[in-house]
Amino acid sequence: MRSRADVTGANSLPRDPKREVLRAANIVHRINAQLTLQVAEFFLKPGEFVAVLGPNGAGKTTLMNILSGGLKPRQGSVSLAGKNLRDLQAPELAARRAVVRASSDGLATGLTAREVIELASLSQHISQRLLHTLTVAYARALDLEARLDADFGVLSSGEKQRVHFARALLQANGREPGFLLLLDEPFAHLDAKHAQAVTRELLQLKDNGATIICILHDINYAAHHADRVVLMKRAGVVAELPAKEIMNKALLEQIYETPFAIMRQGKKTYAISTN
Amino acid sequence: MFGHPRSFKISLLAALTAAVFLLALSVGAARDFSLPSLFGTQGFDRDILLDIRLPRVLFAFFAGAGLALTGVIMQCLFRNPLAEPFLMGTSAGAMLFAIIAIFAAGRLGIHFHAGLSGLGPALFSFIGAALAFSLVLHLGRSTGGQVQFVLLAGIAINAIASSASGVFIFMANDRELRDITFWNLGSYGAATYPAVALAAVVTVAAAVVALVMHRRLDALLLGDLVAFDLGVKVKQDRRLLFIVVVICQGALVSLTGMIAFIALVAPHLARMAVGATHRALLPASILIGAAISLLADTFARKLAAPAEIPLGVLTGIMGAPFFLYMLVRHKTRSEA
Repeated sequence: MRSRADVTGANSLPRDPKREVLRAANIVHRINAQLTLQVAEFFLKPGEFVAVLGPNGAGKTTLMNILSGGLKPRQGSVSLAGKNLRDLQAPELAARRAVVRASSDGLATGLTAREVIELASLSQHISQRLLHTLTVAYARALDLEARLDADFGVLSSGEKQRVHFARALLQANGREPGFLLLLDEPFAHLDAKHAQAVTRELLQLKDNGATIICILHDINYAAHHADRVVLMKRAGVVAELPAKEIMNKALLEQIYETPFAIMRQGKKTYAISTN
Repeated sequence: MFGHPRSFKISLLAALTAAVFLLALSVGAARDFSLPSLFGTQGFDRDILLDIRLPRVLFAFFAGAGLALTGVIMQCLFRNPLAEPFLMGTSAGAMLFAIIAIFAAGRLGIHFHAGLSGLGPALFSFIGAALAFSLVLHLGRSTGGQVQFVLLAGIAINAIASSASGVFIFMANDRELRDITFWNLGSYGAATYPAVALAAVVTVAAAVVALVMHRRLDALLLGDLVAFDLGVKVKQDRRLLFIVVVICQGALVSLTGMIAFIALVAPHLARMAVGATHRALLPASILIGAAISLLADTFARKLAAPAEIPLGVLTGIMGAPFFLYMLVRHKTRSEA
């Protein structure tokens, strides 16, 4: 990230495709026998932090897989920085976006945490010395320094998640503004302190011009940190609104089919499931 | 990366393998040479050393190295520590086709020398190995491409090929039976210089490809999707690696017969010594596979000299307990 991208307001919607980091149109993809993902339009603007919210089975991860290029949709197209995903090879994709997947921690590899993080340099030309320095720096920022030489397979779920996050940070290092970070529930296994560390790095990356799309279950987190929220349900996008407007009891109850209360604490508003 | 403990360990392994190589060269059925005399032999001794001993030892080196190398690649591609030619049907396919070749040759009045010095069965068994491997991959893919399905397909193909081999063994006459048994138990008896050259070419070529791709192999350990995220052309690279494995393993198995467990054991020992990252794992496995192969072949030649103990028997006796140990360890680990 050499220069800062100008931050566009979340509400203004200049639909100029050249100004968009990512655009998906007319996506149709069968998830299972009952569900077919249908998304007419999805876009991300430079420097935007978009949270994707919705109940389990809403198709969030499938959409993420399609947007990341890991899954080819049966119909529709996705373009990244104006280029069709179908025309981008894996190495070109890796130079434009990094992904932290929800279920990428299950494999016992025998690699150390350090070796996993350093694999981010597969798509970069970077000296061994710089790679080492950056790896240690990101590990320190995420409280992983003491675990760098541990077998990745024996790490706790939270540590594995932070290793993958550090790997994604390394992959994003030194890229053009407009680099896209796709995160699938990056806080699922993290305690409050480590979630904060990840958030700090995430916002830093955003300040440097990166675009972030993040699947979340924490409504309050989305309201406080994201610019825009995309709500999904039953394999479709049901609403798209500025993050602050998510604090809407009727809307949340309709999406999650469970009672909510909206509470105020100082300047902040919180949504709490009152079930 | 000099001074790194890993490169030190690999240098140590290289020295160890070199020592085993010299030992294998000096010890044999006809006579033993002392180390200094190895380089100054004359006349008959020189003939023994250069025409018989050296090709045999070189062959043992490359076959062991190549088998271990394909073991590493397969264990990575399947992300399963138990993937090896026996489980993947490669060996059984090679055996079936070799037996068919021996059997057909017998009926047609062509006789191969014991130990299969003829190239006929080798060519046939190479086709058998490649067919079995491709069939297993294809079956595995059509059942969803998940690793456990591929392995199950391998076991099934293994069973089919073994049973079919049994039918031919049942029908074979004494002479064919001897050829078949010899093949079945594995041997480096086919070690002529042309065979050495073939083993060297396939092994070195496979090693070069694998070493060039060492970081991509690391990435594949994390799963296809994560490897793709990191910038690996997963489909293309997997296909290339499978082709490398089929050619290298098929060629070696067709020349040696069934050499058990080197492809399984060597990568595991290497992993314990230098870790799982392929930059270190590949050279370490190659060295350990070569050392095991040389050592086993030296025993095979020497223990019952002038007779030869079938090599597959020795590697099996050494490898099977280790395999069981790995199974138990793997099980307790995945339960933990």
